Amino acid sequence: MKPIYILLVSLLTVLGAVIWIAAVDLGVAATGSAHPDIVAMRVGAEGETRYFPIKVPLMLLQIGSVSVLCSLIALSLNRHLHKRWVSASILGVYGLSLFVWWQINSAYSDYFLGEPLGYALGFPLPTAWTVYGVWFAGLLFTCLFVFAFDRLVYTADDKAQFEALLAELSKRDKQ
Amino acid sequence: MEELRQPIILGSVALYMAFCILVGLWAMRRTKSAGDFFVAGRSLGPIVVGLAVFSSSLSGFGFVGGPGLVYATGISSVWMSTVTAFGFAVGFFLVAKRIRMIAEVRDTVSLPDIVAARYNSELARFLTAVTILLGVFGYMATQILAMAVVLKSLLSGTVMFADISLWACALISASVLIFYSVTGGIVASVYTDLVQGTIMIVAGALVVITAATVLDGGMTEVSQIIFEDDPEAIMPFGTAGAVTVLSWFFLFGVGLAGQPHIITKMMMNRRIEDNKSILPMSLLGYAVAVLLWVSVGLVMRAVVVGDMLTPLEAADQAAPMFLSTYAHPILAGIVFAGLFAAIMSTADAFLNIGAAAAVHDIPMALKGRAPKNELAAARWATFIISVIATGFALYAYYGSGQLVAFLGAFGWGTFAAAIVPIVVIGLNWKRATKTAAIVAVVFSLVINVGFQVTGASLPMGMHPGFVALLASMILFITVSLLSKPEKIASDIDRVMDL
Repeated sequence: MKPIYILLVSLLTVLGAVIWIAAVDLGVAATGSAHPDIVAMRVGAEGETRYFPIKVPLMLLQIGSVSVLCSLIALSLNRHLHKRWVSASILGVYGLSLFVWWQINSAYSDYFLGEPLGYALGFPLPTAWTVYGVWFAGLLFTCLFVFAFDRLVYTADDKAQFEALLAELSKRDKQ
Repeated sequence: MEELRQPIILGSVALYMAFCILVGLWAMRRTKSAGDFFVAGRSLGPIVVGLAVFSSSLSGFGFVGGPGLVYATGISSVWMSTVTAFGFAVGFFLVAKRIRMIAEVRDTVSLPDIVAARYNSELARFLTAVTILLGVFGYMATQILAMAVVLKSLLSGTVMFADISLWACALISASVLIFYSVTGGIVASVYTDLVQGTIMIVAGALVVITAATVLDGGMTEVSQIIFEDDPEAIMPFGTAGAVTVLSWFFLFGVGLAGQPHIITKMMMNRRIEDNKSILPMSLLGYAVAVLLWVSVGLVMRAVVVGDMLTPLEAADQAAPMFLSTYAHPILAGIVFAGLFAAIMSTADAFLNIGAAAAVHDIPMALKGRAPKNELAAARWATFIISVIATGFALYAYYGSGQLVAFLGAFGWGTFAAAIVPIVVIGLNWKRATKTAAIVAVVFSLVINVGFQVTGASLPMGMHPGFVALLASMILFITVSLLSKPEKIASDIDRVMDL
C-alpha cells in the first residue's frame, strides 16, 4: 500500500477516534477544575472517571497519531521503501512508539486498579514512559536521518542529478 | 551578591540589547540584495542555521508561558515538548531538502514562492502570503507585549524607572528589534539567533541543575509532593486531561513542519548535506531549553502545594519567582537575557517572513513582479509591520485585547492547517493538485476564524487547531485524488524525484 493511502487511513482513524470521544458523556470536568485552595492552579481530581470511559477511543487516537507521523516519514522515503532495512527501520520506530503508548496506558490503568505506583528517573512510572519514552521513540527518526542521510535523504546520485539540473538551467538562462 | 541582583539582571539585558544593535550594523554591510535580506543569500553554515531553527521555534512561551502552564496544569504541557523529536524529524525528512533545492532552482526568497513554484499557481501564493501576514501581526503583537511587560517588571524595581509606563517599555524593546531587523534583515536575525540560541541553551542547562537541587530528594521528591496534593497533576496526562494533551501531541508533532518562520530557515543553508548536522543541533538545543520549562514549572508547583512558598498570583510568575528565590543573581541575569533572546529570535523571524509576504509575494501574485527596489521596500515593510504590531500590542494592553486575540487565531494552528498539507505533503506527493492546495488554505483560514468569531469550544478540551489540521489534511488528500492530475513544471518535477 502506498504511504499516501496509509496516511489517509491513519488520518481517518484519528477522525473516527475524535468523533467517538465527542460522543461520550464523561459526567465530570474532562479538563480538570480550579484548585480548591490555590489560585492560578488547576487539579485533575477524578482521574479514573476521566480516563476509563474513553480508554478505547483514546488508544485509537494514539495509534492513529503515531501512524500519521510514521506514514509521513514513509512518504518522504517512498523511493527507498523497497529496501527491506528502510521499511524495517520505520516499522521499528512505529512498533516502539506503540509499545511506549501501551506502557503508558497499562501503567496508568494498573495504578487505578490498586497496583503500587513505582517511580523511575524522577517521575511516576506512567509519566516516566511519557517523558522519556515518547521522546526517545521520536529521537530514533533523527538518528535515521543523521546516520543514513547519504544513503536515504541525499545520495551521491541525487547530488549528481541535482547539479546536472542546475547546470542545465544555468545554460538555458545564458541562452 | 544579593544586593547586586537587580543591577546584574538589568546589565545583562542591556548588554544583550547593545549586542543586537551592533549585529544589526554589521549585518547591514552584508545585506546588498533582497535575497540577502530574506534568505541570507543561501550562504549560512550549519551551526548558524541549527541554532536559528531551534531559537525561532521557542518564543517567550518557553521561558514564561511554559513554566506557568506546568505550574497551573501539572505535567500536561510536557506533551507539547516530548513530541518535538517527531516534529523536527518530520520537518527535516519532508521539507528541508526539497525546499532548499527549489530555493536554488527557482531563486526563491520565501515560502509562498515555493508554493507558487510547486503548484504553478499565483492564487496559492497569494493565499499563503495573506495567511502568513495575518499570523505575523498576531504573533508580533504578543511578542512585543511580552517584551514590554518583562522590561517594565525589571525597570520598575529600580528607583530611577519606578514609574515607567508600559508604552515606554514597548518603545524601547521594539526599537531594538526594529533597528537590527531593518538594517540587517535575516542576516542580523540569524546571527543574533546564534547568540540567542546559545544563551537559551546555557540558561536552560543551568536552571535545570538549580531546579533539580531545590529539594534534597531531587525530581522524585518534587513528583511525590505534587502527587500527594493531586495525583492527576503528575500522572501522564496532567490536569488538562488525556484528550487535550493528545490534541497537542498531534498539533505540535505534525504542525511544527508547517510553521513558516521555522521552515523558511531551511532554505538558507549553504549546502544541502548540512541538514544532517542541522537537525541534531536544533533538537538538542530545543531539548535543553525545554528542560527549563518543565523543571521550573514542576518545582514551583511542588514548593507551593508543599507550603514552602506563598502561592503565586498568576501562573506566569512561576519563572520570575523561581529566579528571584532560587537562582544565583548571575544565573538570573543570564536567564533574563535568555528570555529577551527567546522573544526577539521568534519576533525577528516573523518580521522577516511578514516583510517578504508584503513586498515580494503579494505583489508577485497580483502584478506578476516584485517592486523595483525590493531591498528598500523590504526595510520599509519591516519597519511598518513592527510599528503596526506595536500599536496592536499597546491597544491590547490599554484597550481591548480582542483584536490581538483575533489575530492570534492565525497562529500555530492556522499555520499548521494551511501549510502542512500544501508544503509537507505537497512537496512529497506529485498527485497533489493546485485546487486541493487552494481548498486547504481557504478551509484552514475559515475554520480557525470561525472558532475565534463564534467562541465555540470542542469536547474535552480538544484544541481547535488540531481539528483544523486534521480536517485540512484529509481534505487536501481527498480533493487531490478526486481532481484531475496536473502537470508539474519540469524542474520541480525533477527535484521531487530526488
